[in-house]
Amino acid sequence: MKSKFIHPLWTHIPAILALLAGVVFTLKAMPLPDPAPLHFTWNGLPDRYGSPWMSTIWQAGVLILYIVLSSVLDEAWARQEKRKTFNWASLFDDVTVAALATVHITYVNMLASANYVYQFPWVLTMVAAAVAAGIAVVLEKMRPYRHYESSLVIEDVSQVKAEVDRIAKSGQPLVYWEVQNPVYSRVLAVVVPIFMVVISATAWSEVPWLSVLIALVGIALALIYGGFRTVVTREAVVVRMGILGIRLLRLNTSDITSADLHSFQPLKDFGGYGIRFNKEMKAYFLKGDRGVKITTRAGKKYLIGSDHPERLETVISTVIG
Amino acid sequence: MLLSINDQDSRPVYVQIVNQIKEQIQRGSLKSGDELPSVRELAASLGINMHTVRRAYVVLRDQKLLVFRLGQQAKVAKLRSQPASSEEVTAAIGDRLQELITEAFLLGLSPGDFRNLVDTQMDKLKEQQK
Repeated sequence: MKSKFIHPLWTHIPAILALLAGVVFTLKAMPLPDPAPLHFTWNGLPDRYGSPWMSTIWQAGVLILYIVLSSVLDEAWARQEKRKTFNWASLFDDVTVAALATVHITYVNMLASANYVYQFPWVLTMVAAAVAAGIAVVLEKMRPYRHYESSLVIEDVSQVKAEVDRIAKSGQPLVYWEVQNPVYSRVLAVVVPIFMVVISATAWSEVPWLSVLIALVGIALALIYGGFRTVVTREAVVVRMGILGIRLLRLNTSDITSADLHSFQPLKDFGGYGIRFNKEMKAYFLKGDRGVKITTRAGKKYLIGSDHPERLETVISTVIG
Repeated sequence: MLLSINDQDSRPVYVQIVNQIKEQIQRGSLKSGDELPSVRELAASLGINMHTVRRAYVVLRDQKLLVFRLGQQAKVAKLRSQPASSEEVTAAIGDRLQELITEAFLLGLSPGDFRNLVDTQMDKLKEQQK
């Protein structure tokens, strides 16, 4: 069966193996002492004790999150490739997880030895990260190129054009509305804030200012729930974000000189998704690689990502006359 | 989703919204799972009362074409894969069909003319769906 992933998941093997090694070493070291030293001075002496499970579970959670985030990033990279290119970002999870798993394994070994002096394993960590990076480079080089067939098709908008023309001539109020609300943005707006609020609650007694900061970032992320919405009326083109409908962009139709279909590479041209800038324009998109480029009388250019760029372009072009 | 309000149309505004959304679902411009604007956003964009938009959405929800709960974005419902039962059809469009047939009769149309009219409209819809 052909995988629906363009970037093969086996490129994450080093990170997964490092994670499994951490789990195996932890299981072998059981039962862990409770309370166990959780924090150490520069000299390696413990200065705070607590449940070893809390830190172990959090660490495993963070490592899994690294692997998932890296997989998403790699997939996004692979989908915009026009030919095989080396993706340095694919090394991100392998290096990070290998380093963190090494730190955890040495910590668990120290707990098992009952000699609670912990010297940070700089050399071992760097060696593990380097080995993981080496394997990851080989796997990334071995990764085959697969062309991504965009699910977006060029749409026949003659019917929409006729309808918009009719409305435009009649002088009736008009509204065109569309949304970009991909699954990952919903996860970012729900799962990550919950995760951050839980972290914030557990960190409250230790560093209150940091836990408030984490909670605020979590709440800010929750505001993107609902994605980006583009609304076109006779008066303006408006892009809003999230559950509160925060206005990101408003362009009066009288200020717009042109609206054109535009294809782009999200990572290469803008370095990611969301509200982005490059030398030429400011862009608003959460998915896809097509949209509408709007030019204003002042010469400014804006890109609005769309799942139906032909429709959006037709509507904007008609309302600006 | 494209909507407009026609001041010259004798039908209430909420009926115009209901009909336009239905047409877009029927044409395939709006698909199952597609999100619709919030009541507040749509009302502000069209310059109409929020209650008018809410009423349109409630009508569409009652006809199982939209799903929405408090605090959630309205979405196009999963369209039925099987034709409705004759009882459901009678309940949904029986009375309106009766009204149309009566109006057609009063306009002097024969049953054959009325059938032709229905066929012509059906052909138009099929053409739009292509």
